[in-house]
Amino acid sequence: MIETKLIHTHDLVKTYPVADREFVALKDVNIDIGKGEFVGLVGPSGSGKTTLLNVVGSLDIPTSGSVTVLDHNIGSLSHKQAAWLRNQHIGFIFQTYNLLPVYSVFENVEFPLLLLGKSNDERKKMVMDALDWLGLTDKAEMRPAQLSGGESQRVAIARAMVKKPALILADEPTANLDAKNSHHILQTMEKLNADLDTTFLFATHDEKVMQYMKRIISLEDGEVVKDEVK
Amino acid sequence: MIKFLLAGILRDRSRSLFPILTVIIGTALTVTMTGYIGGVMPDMIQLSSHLDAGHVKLMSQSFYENRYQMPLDLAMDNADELIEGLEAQFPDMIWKSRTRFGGLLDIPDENGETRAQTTVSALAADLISPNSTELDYLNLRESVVEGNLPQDPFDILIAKSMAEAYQLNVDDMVTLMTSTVNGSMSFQNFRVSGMVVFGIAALDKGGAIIADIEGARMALDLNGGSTEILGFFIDDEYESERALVVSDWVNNNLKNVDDPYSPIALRFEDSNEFGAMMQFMGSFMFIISTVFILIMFVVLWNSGLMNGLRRYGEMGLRLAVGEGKGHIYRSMLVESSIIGVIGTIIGTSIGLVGVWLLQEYGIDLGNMTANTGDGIYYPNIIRGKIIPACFYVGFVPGLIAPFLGSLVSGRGIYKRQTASLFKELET
Repeated sequence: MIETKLIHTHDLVKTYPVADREFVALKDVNIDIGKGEFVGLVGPSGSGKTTLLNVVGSLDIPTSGSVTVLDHNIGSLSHKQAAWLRNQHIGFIFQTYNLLPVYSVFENVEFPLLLLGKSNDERKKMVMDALDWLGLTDKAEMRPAQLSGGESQRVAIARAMVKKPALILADEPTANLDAKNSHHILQTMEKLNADLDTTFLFATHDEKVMQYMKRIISLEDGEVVKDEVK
Repeated sequence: MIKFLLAGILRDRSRSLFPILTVIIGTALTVTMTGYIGGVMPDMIQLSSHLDAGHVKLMSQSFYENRYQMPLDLAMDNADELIEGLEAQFPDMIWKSRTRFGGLLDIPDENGETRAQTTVSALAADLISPNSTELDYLNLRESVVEGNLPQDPFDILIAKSMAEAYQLNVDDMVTLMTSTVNGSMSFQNFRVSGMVVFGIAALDKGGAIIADIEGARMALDLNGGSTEILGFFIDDEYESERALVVSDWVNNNLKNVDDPYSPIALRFEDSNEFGAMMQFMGSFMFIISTVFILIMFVVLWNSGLMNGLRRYGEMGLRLAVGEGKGHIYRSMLVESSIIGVIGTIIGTSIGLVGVWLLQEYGIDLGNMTANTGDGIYYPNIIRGKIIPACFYVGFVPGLIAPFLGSLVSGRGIYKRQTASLFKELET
């Protein structure tokens, strides 16, 4: 039983025009995800995992049905309101890390705080706390090109969690990492989930990731075919 | 945020180098050309007014109508009288009689027989009366390269090039054959007192002689008269508005439409093609700024589009982190403004160096300006001048062009769906 609903979808449908027809990416998706959950969206390529993440992350809007994230109806948000929601409450982690190459590790992690308008001192403290938490203090002045894949993904996690968001969306976060680094990253996120009660929603088809999930929602052709709590 | 953007610009050369170089080149050229025009214009106005047009020029109405033929018979026969009245009316001006006429110069051999003849264009001005300003206006003290300034009404100066062509020496006697104001033949002997090089190709190239006004009057039977009266402001600074007051007064009080010999007054810019030229030069900064804004805008627009394509991934990330489209767009405009400021400061500095070099060394365009006529004179060495506008004129194209370039190229952010931009992250 979910005590506090963080994400709620009701008959969510998302279609895209492809040539002269509509491609159905999500079909009547109804899920509820509560605060502090560690959830995996699994399924083959094209099953709608990333589309669902994009809609939940307010980067896209539903074609029909509704999605509510932290009591905000995604379909009715303006660009500005959607950006505010992401800025305040949502962190993203990507398969390809997507660090800004010309900025240092410190500056990459600092960026979301700049958008939040935090003061210089606040930013410095929050960034150093995040880097410390992820064991990256000694890498603060390095550029992304000087980091290994595992270190880069840890920086990406630091950037996602530095503002202590309620929800972190991770799209194939371990796809570019070897097994050792994958486990390390997942353990880090598991710890973050436990310590800060941050909700995680993963899109993955990696078995290594699935074994860490406390709940797995399976998608096929845009439909939820299984929702299983471990 | 500005600090963050600045760091990005300085570190990401592919983002900043080409736009900054474009701005540098555009502003440097704008500043250099402004300084060049700023130097040429005052030189041109001063030279042309001194040599030909004055700040205000009086001619008889009929002479004015036929001025390109230089009709001596239509000269003002009461020039001295007019000058007395003008000096009383405008004490802050210097008024001088000048007469232009043509003739045939006969150069004798040692026996007094004709050795050579050549047509000459003569300018008569007050060269020998005490404290005459004409020696300064015509820059004769510096221009005499051999011999001396005229001491007698029948002394003349001749162009060095002509002296060399006809093997004339200082103190040689020559005979000027011309017609008097009444149309009868006139023969007058003159002594060559000196030879001049003006450093102005249009004057130095041909058969020019300079005579004293009194000697010319005697030769032309033009006692007390002249073809022109030139007025100069005492401070020698030409101002259109001041000149207009004078010319209006003359045209309202001295001009008589029923008397073709009554004077008409023209301001400097009303003489010959000066007006159109001054108008063009006055608009030059606007024209040059507009041209460079357009050129740089197109270049930076394309550069912005290329950069935008390259940075779609970054845009997607920034959207994901919570930056709004509007904020990203505005930050691109701020970036372009920073690029504009950096490029303009560097470009203006380079442009100022260029103007300084033009000011110090100049460019010898004597061959190009040799055939300029109609009373428009340029020095052979054309020099730029560092004028106040050089310090700020570059900021107009330097700031506007990158801003416009980003304004247009950045529209792509709005045209693409947020999710599409976001997808660039995964490609």
